[in-house]
Amino acid sequence: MAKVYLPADLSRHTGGVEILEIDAPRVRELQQALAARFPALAGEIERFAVAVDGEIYSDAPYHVLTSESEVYFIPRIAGG
Amino acid sequence: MSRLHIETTINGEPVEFLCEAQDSLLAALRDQAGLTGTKEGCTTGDCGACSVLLDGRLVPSCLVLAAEVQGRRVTTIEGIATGDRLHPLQQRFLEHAALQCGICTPGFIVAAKALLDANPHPTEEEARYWLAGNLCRCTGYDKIIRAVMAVAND
Amino acid sequence: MTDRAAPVIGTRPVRHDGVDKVTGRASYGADLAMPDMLHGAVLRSPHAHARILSIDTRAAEAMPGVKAVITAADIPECFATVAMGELPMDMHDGSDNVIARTKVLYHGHVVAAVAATTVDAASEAARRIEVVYDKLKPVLGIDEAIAPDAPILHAGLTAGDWAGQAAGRPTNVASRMELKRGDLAQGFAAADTIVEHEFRTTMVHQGYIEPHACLARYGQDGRVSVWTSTQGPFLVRDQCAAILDIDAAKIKVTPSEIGGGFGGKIVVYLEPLAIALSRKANRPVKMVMSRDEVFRASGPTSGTVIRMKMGATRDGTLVAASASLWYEAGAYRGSPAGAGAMCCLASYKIPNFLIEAYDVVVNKPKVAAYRAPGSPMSTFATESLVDELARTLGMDPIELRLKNAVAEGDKAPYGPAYGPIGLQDVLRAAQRHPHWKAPLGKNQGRGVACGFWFNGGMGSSASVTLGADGSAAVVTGNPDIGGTRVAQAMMVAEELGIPVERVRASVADTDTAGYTDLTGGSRVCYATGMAVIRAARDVRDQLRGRAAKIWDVPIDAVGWDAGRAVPPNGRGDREALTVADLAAQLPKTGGPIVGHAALYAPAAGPGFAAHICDLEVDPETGGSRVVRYTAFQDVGRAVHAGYVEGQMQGGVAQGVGWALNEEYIYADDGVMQNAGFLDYRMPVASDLPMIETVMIEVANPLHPYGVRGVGEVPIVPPLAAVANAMRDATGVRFTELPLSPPRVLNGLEKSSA
Repeated sequence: MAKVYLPADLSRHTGGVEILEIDAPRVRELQQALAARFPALAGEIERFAVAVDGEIYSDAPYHVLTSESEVYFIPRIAGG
Repeated sequence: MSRLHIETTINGEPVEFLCEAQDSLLAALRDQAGLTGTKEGCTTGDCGACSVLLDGRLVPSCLVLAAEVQGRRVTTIEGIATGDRLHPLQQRFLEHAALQCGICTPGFIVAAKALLDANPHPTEEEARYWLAGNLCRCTGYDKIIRAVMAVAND
Repeated sequence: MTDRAAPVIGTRPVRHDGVDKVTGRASYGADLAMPDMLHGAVLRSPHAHARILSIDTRAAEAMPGVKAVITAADIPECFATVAMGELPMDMHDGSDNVIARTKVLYHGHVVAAVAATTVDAASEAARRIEVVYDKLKPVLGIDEAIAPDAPILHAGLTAGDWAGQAAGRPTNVASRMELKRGDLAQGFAAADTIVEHEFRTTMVHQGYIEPHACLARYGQDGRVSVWTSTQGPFLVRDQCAAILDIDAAKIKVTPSEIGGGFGGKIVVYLEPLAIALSRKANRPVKMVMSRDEVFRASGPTSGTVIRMKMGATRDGTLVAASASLWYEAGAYRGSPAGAGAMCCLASYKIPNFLIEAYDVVVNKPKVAAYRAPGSPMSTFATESLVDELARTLGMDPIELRLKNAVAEGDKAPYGPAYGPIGLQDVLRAAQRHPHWKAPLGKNQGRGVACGFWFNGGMGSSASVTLGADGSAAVVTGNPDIGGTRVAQAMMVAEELGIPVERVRASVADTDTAGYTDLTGGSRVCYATGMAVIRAARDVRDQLRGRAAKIWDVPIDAVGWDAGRAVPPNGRGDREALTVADLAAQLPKTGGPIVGHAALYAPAAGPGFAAHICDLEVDPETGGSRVVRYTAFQDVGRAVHAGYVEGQMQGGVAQGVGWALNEEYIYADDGVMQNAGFLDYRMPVASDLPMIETVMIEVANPLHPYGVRGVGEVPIVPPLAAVANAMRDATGVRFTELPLSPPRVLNGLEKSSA
């Protein structure tokens, strides 16, 4: 089960739940599972970047997850 | 309105071009004489990117009328090296990594040459004040001043 | 020839493109001309906020030399989104910013464009275009924008759920973002001392010396060529394709040399206009911005209002922090408020915090990225408050920071744990440095501050070709702003074991380079460098294969050592083969060798810096001067030390300008009063001392050499370093920037009253 951390702007849609465990093979299925559990997340969660085991990606739906993965959803930012 | 016919000397070579009365020397160099090494940063004489020497004197070419160079001598960045031999300023700028984007570099080299022509051994403070008319946004001036002082101390 | 046994990384070779730059031969955006070319000029709004009622271009079209006039009517309304690498960009806003459709939203907003045979003819014709406006009251700052009766910029912009009762109502607040941890009330309750201030910064500009410039040709075959000064040629292509509804595959963008960007040359301004004019006139069109236009109508960064509060226990442990960050987005949504929120506490372990960040539209130019976008302003607030805490607690300011500084394994404010990072190292280096203990003179003060930036990753491609003479060429699509070509040449030299003088690095166009994300985000040396290294290793493996063929052994038996293929043990009858030896035999052993790599690099090599600034203040004039500055930064691994130092020094200079003099000054009608270099006062050579740099190398495990991004972090600490030095010199805590002479004098007079 991947351990998932949601920031305040997403936990607003989960009734305050910030940390969850979700079984999903890839980030895409993780996003879908979250949206299935918390319908208000649908459409929102895809707008966030994701850090998987410390590596940050703007958009990585096919990134493979393991049972030990730590996943953080992070607001997307840009450099200059 | 018919254009003015100007005969001048640029980097030691006789050059002729046509210009309007209101054209700047900067525009004439870049658009008529094909010398695009001199850059436009502001057209108000504040950034130094257009620095050239007019009869040996450092001027912002954006504030000189093209017509004013009739019969006079202009030196641009293209005339600083001698054939394929770089001027010591050019060489030191490269060695000291005194340029990043390089857009201000032609102006600085011309201005620094004018400094060393007038004062071959300036102090760091003299160099900084002389070059205060040349803006650089990339380097913070540190390596530029080091390069100029290296030539001065040679 | 350099001795190939010596490593290349960490040396300081002369950059290969340097001679062109010191002789004036290098071609920048405005340096290209084409036969038959026209010049484009733009008509800009004289009002900061107005509805466009009508545009009559007939008088302009009739003028001699005019070959095309366009308005928004010539461009389809755009509803696309373009992937810009890190953030997708809403092209409806982007396209409306390029040329206004129904409303003008800032003084200088483009309303029409003209192509004519001379610049003067084009400008004159633009002045003859008649526009009827319905003037509206402009909104020129955060306070005005959020006032209850504020004029609304965008009718369709309504408040989100976060606005509670006001949700769904028209607003100028485009979004709200929040970061939190722990229990704020408990945190502050445990604090022995609390400090709180409101900080204000103004809109400032990246200040690149080269104005935007491009040359576009729309061919009769529908193919478009664009020559432009840009940080992202592929982004120019994709934005223009979206705005003009042209197939991106028909657009080729060739990046010129670029005279500075710092984030301001990512979004397009002129290119779509030049292409549309060229299409209408059937001739190439060149467009160059004046300096005035650059200030008024390109993309400065946000002015901000930041309220921040921090609490600590008496031993100096930070226990709580809260902040409201309000950032100006300019005319369209999209300020870096979120990044500001994520960066401001990134240096410290704070168990309880709540940060809210608001993106606010105002009648000013749409903001664009500026070197670590969002971080300098919010860090100014944090580092000023940390300084205050140190004073209140009687602690050394570096010691207080060290006590709370993050290290590997600590969680970033935005969630994940940091990998190996160098904050504690840079703080200790600062503490040990002679600058920290050097005596100060009269009217002088010393300030210290630290700062953080994420540094980007994203996608890059590279190819490395081997010549028959054993030289190599590396090609990428990343414009070189700060010396990345020489760094790439060094990487290839290192990998292949050939002298760096024998490697040529060049920047190709969008047809000939593999896709790459922009030059920016401190990513080129890291991510594109990673691709270059992989492509070079691909060449090296292919060379091993050629040696295997020559020796008739399996490839696994071929070793590689410092530029030589080495025969397997026990084969004393075979001599090692150098790259030159193998290159000379390419046709016989299988033909040309080209190495490729294309990759997507994760972001996770964050950068930390600490700066010490000594400031001398003249109490009679309020003028001040930086008399000594030392910048400490974790640079991961410095490929070319000279250019890494250059990034640090350049960032410091921009930060010092931001702290002391730079600001956008607006009159009540929304017209910028200081749109030139005389009155928009950037640092000059006589304003600054030598800027000492201390590079600390904490290797980034994600990169083969340990490289981490370096370009953006250095602009983050200076705002507070200078303000803290001002506090030290004068006894006055200034919370509003810039610390220009009138403001300082005012503050000094008030405090002595």
